[in-house]
Amino acid sequence: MTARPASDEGEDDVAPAVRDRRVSVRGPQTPPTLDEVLGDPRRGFVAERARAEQARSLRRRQLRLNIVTVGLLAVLLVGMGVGARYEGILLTLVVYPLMVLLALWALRRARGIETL
Amino acid sequence: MTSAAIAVICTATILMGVFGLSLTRSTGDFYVASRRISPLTNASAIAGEYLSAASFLGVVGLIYLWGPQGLWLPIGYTAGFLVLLLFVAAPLRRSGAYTLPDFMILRFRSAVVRRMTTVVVVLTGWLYVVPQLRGAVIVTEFSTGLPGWVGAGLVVVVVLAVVLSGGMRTVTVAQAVQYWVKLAALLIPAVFIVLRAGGEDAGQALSEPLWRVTVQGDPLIAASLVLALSVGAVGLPHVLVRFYTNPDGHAARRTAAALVGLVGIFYVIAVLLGLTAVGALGPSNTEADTALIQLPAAVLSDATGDVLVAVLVGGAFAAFLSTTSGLVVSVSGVISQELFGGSVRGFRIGALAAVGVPAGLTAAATDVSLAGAVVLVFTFAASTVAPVMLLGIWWSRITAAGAVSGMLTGAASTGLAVVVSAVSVQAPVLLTYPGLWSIPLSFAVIIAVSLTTEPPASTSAVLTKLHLPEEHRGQSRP
Repeated sequence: MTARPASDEGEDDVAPAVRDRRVSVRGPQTPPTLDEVLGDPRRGFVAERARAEQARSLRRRQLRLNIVTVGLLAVLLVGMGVGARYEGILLTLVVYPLMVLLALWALRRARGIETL
Repeated sequence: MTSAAIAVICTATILMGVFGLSLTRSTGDFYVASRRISPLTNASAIAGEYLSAASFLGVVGLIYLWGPQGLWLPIGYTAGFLVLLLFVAAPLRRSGAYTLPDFMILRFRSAVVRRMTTVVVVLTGWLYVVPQLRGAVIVTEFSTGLPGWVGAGLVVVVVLAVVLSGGMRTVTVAQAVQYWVKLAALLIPAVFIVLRAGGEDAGQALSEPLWRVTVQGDPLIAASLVLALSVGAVGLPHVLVRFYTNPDGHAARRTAAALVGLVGIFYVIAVLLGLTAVGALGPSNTEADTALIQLPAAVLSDATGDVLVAVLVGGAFAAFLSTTSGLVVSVSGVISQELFGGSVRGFRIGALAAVGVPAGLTAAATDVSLAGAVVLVFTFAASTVAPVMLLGIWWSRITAAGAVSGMLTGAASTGLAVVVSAVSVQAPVLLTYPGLWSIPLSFAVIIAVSLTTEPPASTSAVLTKLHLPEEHRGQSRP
């Protein structure tokens, strides 16, 4: 009977040390997704980072294409502005089909970049 | 006869509203029409909404008033959809946001940016509704003999009836039809007028020499107009909201590409009519904004002229109704989300505010030119929301502080330019048309401020969402 409190005190001495050791072991910072729990570990941070990298490269290539297209549009409009001073108003109507062609070309190129 | 044309257009619009009502199911449907709409329908709907009083009456009026310098206006409008196709359509759709402020909160995680965007959207909407109502006043006065406010009041009542009952699904179906109505209303008179004016009856003044007129005028105005109109399209809430109704990012691009064609066809016809008006109406002795409606009587003297006037007036009302309802839907959606937690009741209160304020402004400002007012709206949008959207989609370093300072700069510079050019008699061209400097200035301020502050932590994740095609997304994390 008298030994009981002593042994209790002894356990109290040991428990904090065990707890400290356990605290120092850290688990994942975010809960795993269902896919990670059930199977393929590649569907996690790794895949997320690969997707970010892919999106970054897509963004750069689309931006480059877009800047080229805007450049072509600017050349078209300036050319038309200069031309219309000498050749007459009808020239301005040619701009519309050319803009449609530019749009279709950009549409195809943008899809091409994405499906590679 | 013209009153009958107005009545037919208004009745048809309301009927389509009631018909569309049965297709509305949930709050989600109410806002974005469930994303089940094909690119061509969607493009027709956007074109139906986009081709406003400024396009229908203003382009012809401005070409008549300014001569060939006015030709830049429709070119800028069309180029805007090319800019949308290139820079905005797909990423905006992939963002999954409903409205412009939604997009801003996703990208910047900042309540300040969202609130500022809301203010800009509401201001843009209000300013844009004014020329529509003004157009209704002008057309009603000119063609029916009724007082002008009857026409504006009619537009307000029909728009509220349609918007309050059906929401966007209704408006999508109705707007798609509106494009074809407007195209027909311009094309049919154009065929008669241009053939007759180009023929022998109307004399030599209109035939060969007209096409040989060369474009003169200030290249600064031309550049400023085209820049403001093409970049401004990126900041128009009623156009952007429709890109959410595409099934995916590439469909959004196809919608934008189709728009370059749909809008282009319309403007080619408008330009031909404008050039005819220069010859047929003589020097600008009348109000420019009614030039289109005066044209049939000037060229065709018989009853055909009266019929064509009725067709044109019908088309003009289609333009007022569709642009106004599109603007009212987007402005009230934004007001509802900002102030009423996105409830349908808030949407209805928002709709009343979205149409009430411009109605008051229209009554107050009676000497607004349609095309001039719309150029101002585009310049405002192009200097505030548009640079933030463009850099937000394509530049990873942009910050909330940069976005806020850019929008403030744009609002201040366009506001200042408007005030100065309004009070001074001989304002420099670049104050009347500030786009050429105010738009680059906003970009510069955003970039400078962003480089000294930290971008949001979520930047990489958000840009991935915006630029990765839907089929590459893989499993999304919960």
